[in-house]
Amino acid sequence: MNAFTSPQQLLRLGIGLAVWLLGWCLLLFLDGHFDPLNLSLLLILTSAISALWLPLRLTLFASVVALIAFNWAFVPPRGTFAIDLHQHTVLLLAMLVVNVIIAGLMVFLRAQTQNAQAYAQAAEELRTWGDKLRDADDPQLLCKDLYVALEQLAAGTSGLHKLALVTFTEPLPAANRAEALNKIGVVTGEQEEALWHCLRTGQALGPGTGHYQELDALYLPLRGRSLTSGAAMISGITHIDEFPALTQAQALCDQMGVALERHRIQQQERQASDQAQAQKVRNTLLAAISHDYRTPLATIMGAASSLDQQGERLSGNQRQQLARSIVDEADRLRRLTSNVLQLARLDAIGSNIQGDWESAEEIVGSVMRRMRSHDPQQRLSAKLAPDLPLLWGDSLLLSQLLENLIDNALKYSPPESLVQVLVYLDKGQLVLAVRDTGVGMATAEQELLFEVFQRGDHRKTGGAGVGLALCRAIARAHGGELELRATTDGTSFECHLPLHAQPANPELEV
Amino acid sequence: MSLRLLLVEDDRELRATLREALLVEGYQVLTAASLAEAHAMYGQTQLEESNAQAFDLILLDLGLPDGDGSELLVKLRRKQSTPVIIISAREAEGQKIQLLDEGADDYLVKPFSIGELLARMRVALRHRGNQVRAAITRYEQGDLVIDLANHKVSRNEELIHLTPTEFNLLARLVRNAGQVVTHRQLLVDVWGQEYLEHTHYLRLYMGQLRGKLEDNPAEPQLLLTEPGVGYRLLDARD
Repeated sequence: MNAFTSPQQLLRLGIGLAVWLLGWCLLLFLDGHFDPLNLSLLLILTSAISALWLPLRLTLFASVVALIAFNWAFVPPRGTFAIDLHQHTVLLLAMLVVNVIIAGLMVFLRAQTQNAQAYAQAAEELRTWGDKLRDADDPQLLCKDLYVALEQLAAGTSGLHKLALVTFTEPLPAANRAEALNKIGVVTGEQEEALWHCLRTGQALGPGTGHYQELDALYLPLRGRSLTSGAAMISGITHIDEFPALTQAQALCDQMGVALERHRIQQQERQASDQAQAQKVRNTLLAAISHDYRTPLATIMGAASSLDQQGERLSGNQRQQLARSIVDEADRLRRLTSNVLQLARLDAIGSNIQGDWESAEEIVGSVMRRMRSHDPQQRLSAKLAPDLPLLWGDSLLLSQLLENLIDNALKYSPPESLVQVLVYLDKGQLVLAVRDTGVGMATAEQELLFEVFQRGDHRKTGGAGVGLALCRAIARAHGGELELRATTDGTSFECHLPLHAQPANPELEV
Repeated sequence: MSLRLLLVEDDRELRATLREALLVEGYQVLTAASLAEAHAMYGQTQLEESNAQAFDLILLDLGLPDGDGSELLVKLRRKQSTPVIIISAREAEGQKIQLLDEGADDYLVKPFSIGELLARMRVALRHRGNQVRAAITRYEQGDLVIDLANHKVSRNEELIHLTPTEFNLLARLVRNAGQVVTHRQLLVDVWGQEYLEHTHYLRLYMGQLRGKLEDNPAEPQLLLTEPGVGYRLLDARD
């Protein structure tokens, strides 16, 4: 072992030798003023102080050499190695023993301090790493940091090392597929096999691990509580002595493993809760749909069975009325069916609607014409801002949106209130608004209606739920949003649609 | 002689109901429940009669047990111009447009009222045999008169000035008054084949026409929009 190679070690050697030099200078300087007995204590002191810096063997060697030199220089007869007095022999032997004991103690103490420091450093490293993982939104992104930390551990030891780190994000595939892994570093096919084995068994492999000790690399699993999320490799290690930081490296890896597992569990929980939420919305929607179907069906059933069973006893006028209500309710069912179908379709295609350049004026015009038959008291009117730009969208869907909003407004506002369709530009958006002038109750009720509908609870909406859900889906499919606003004298459902760059118009004619 | 109709519809209830309603209106109604039956009936009647047109009008359902009703339409259109009205539960605009372009006279989405069906039938029958008879050149509705032969549009005897494109567009709609004319048909006939994608031209010119001809352009009564499909000029007799 070449113990004195690093600059730090050379410095320690220098200081140790300097202490010895200083001690001898002092001895020579004090020679003649004190007797050798006193000077010998100075020698012991020098030896003890130098042991603070010098390694054990050198300290002992220096002590013995110093003792012999002391004998030669200071113990009478001076200038010889001979010892003439018995007490001097005892003195020299005692000095030797004391020197050895002190040097040994000093070096032991030093080693203890060093170990404690190393432990503290390792603990600190683990703590900061743990904090970092805890604060990370996705520990997967910290793979690079773990790689660097392991690299630093490996750099503290001799030899050339190569590192690799693999993790997986998807559920672990049955077969070893390279593309299922998230990889940092380069590995050979054999090393990849070992990484897979390490990952699947959750066992460390390689020298000092108790498994596959003959390997020339360490494979450390990233272990969580019940699942191994990845594995790290440090190559170029043939014996455990070459990598004393094994425990520390494994601890870092395990922390990563726990963090990855925790993150995975959190994600699964979130997914499960999203699914549960979607299922809940679907269920309430289904409940709302079947509820909405029942009401018109009940009217149709009542009227039709009355015609069937009481036909002859009814007056012509009564029969006419019953037939009329069957037609009206059937029409309501038709609209409802169309809403449900459209909602399912939008759910499936998202915002991939079949768009074209459409004129808001035309859409409003065709809707107004159709809704007139539901508006015998002429409560409905339309007002469009002049020179509106064309909008990009699906005219059938936008017509359906307006129809639903108008239908709701006619049905849920007081019978004398007016319903107005407004189209205007606002903050770079085209707004299709349906306003009613229902006072008091209508506002509060529609507010509730919208809130209830937003919560996905359709029990209190009395049939408007599916229609509103569709309106919102249509607005969103067009990149817009449906909003409810209370005006000074009523409520306003507003569909905000984004504007698009207009197409080139043909040349003007006269 | 009463008019002969062929009703192709596989649902028994609907077939019976429509048949009764049409009989009441004085039509002679033959029914078919499948594509094969419709083919057979068509061939048979053609053999029996010397008349080239076996039926005066065909009401055709699309989803038939042995095939799609559109097959019959395509086959029929190779030889004859018998008016065909599609009655279907399919609402997709794409198909509606395709069938109209393939020669269907009209498209009714189930459910529909008898009144609506009868109105569409009247329009289709009036346009029957456009190829042989003189095309409609005059349209009167309220105080509006459109005289295609003389290039004149007037209201209350007051001339209304139209640009050449506006006039061509209006003329195309007048020729099929009461019927839907698809975006495609309008763009090709008025502007030309290469303008197929220019739906926004239609939006612009229809807006201008409405501004000149309608009392309230925001709520048109004459130049009607069929969202996603095309336009329809109100039938002069409605």
